[in-house]
Amino acid sequence: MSWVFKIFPSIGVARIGNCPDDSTSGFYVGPEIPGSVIVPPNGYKDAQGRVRRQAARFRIYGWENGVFMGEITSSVANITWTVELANTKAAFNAFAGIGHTGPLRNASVTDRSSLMITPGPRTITGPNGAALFDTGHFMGTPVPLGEIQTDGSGRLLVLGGFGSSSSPTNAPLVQFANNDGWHDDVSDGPVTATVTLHGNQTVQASGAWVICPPPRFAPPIFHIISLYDALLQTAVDRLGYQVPATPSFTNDIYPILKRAIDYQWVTTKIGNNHNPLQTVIPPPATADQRNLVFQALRNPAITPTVDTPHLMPAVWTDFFADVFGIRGHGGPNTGHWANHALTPTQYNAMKNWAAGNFINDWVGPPAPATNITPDGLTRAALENCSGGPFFPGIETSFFTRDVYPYVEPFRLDGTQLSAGDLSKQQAIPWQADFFDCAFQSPLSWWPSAHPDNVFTATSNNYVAWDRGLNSFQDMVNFWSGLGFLVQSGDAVIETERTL
Amino acid sequence: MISRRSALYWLGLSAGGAGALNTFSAFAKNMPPENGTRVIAWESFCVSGAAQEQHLRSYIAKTLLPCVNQLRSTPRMCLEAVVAPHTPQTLLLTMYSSFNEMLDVRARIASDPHVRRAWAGMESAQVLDEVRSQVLIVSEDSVRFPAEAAFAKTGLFEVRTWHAPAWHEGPAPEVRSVLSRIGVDPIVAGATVAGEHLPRFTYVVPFDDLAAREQAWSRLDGDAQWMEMQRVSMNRFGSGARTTAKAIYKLAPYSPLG
Repeated sequence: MSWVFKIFPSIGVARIGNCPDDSTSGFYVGPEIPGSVIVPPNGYKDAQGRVRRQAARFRIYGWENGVFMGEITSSVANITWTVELANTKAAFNAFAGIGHTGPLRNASVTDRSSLMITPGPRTITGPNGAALFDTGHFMGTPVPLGEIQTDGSGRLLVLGGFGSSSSPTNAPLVQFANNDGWHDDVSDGPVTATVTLHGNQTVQASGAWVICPPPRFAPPIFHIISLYDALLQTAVDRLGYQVPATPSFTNDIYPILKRAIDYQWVTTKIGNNHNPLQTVIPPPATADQRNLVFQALRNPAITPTVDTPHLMPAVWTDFFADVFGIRGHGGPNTGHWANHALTPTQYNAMKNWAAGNFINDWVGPPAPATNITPDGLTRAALENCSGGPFFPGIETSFFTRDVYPYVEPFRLDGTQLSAGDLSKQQAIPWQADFFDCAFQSPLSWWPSAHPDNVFTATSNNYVAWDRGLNSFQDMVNFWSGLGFLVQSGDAVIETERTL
Repeated sequence: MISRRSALYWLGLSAGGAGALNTFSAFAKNMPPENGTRVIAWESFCVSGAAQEQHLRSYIAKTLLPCVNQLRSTPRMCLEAVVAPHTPQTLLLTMYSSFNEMLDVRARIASDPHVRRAWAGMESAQVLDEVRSQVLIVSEDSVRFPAEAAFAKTGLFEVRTWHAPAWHEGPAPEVRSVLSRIGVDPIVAGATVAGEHLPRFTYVVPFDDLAAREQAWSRLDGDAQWMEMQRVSMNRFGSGARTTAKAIYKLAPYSPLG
């Protein structure tokens, strides 16, 4: 008799928020079913306008002699969870773009450990436990990174930090990614567990990872290249994972079309320009119609720094620094159209579809599944994150896609990583990059996290989502006042803006 | 397995699923009740979320089971999933003397106004993801639903399904002796009537706890007679008895005993 236990999601996402309430009504649990959108019943913000944290819930699933058994809870097992969160941004290299190694951040600080917010691991055994990550410091200043809890069934909840960024040395914010003397409280780290089925030996579960990034302010809008898509490509490229040779219209093509159409709610750049995509839904459409769509896509085989004017997606390349130089970010209209291509897997699916080689399984827009599954937990977490451009990215960096080792698709090899590794190359503080990653003509960055332009309940005209914020410091001070986007009938509109 | 729609038809609560029902009806003609076999209706109610579990409990305990009680005094048992591919989940096993009796009781349950009203309430509240149904053929002496309340509080039940090509006419008598030797004493052992991976056999096995379960199945792996049976099956059919599904349940607190 041999049990294998695995933690799911294999990468979980706990988003920060400045609402400190850690009771179950004070935060909400992030998406656990692919395609689902979580709208907290009591709002994304509390009565004081503070953004609620999005918890990541982790579960353990068991296989016995290769047969899937299901979720393992405290009703049949003693479960001990251990989580370590860290923020090591300030001690890492400055971000200089993919393929470039920047100098050390805070290079003049000799005590490098004083730059790393490392409260160490926390452990909970059994249901209804809690532990705080409240012992980390940055240059002597306490910086809490959040907490872990277990629910009544022994599942793990991770809550991230509070969106608090500051400079103990009162250093100015000088650019989007690298600001010496500053810290924020995003974090990441390993999630491990031991499982002792009642009366049996203790087994180590296959570990997971949690990232605690900034909020995603447009939950109904999925990024055209999600982190799920990006890491699926990683699995294909590095682990030999095989995707079906023939794409499903419903599962592979429609999501790409839908995301492209939905960008109308987050950027005026798209506006109603993607409405013609409706002509290929439902399938099959004509070969000419399909080809017209496909020919509008950038081929991922094209060198990333090469301009492909007017091809889609209309988001910037990972290699922005090689097009403009690192200082070009935030500059004036440059005239380049160096955009980010779909992943090769996405692109090949579209190519097959255009050629008529696809499974026409269309019965209407797919509703989210109704049950939670192990793989669904991972997909739901990752499809709500941006899979590019990574300049440096908002939830995690290109290291996660291109460098870090995996033991299986979507599951990092935690033995070769340290807490903080998935966020250390991100901007410091995150608000600086978040401010800068508004629409930068002629392309967007990641408008599903930071919308460019939105509609409000009272206006049919686009307005800038971050209107009223005019500097990095403004974003540090007032980020939580920005509105969240929600579905309202057929439209997506801004709500809960408190600026 | 029957789809949810089929299951509703089975309950007389929805259109559709006639094909599956016809299968069972046809089977019934070939299954005289006096030959020592019995029929177990096996319904797995897959709940859409933990918050809805109480709604299903209420339906089964306060509406469905009382209705069955009024119609026929027949052995039945309710199990709640502890470790299963879908949780929450409640399994309702009801034994009948024949297919015809099962169909007759089903029809009367389906026409009961209380059941219909309660079911409509569950539908509107979206309590269930799906209902999976199957029918097992069992020998009368192979069914022993639990009668002891004490066991009901602490014991676990494993539901294990084997695909066993060598058992096409039913498990050989040696299977029972092997299981007995390793400490596995099923309270239900039945053959699935229809579906994939036939011949398929489902056992419900009580264990005091997970440790006892683990020890018992470990003994099976080392049992010389079992290994020989597997070898013979491999030689003749290219496959031995293979576990295709297993899950662990506990007795529902409202389950009838005996």
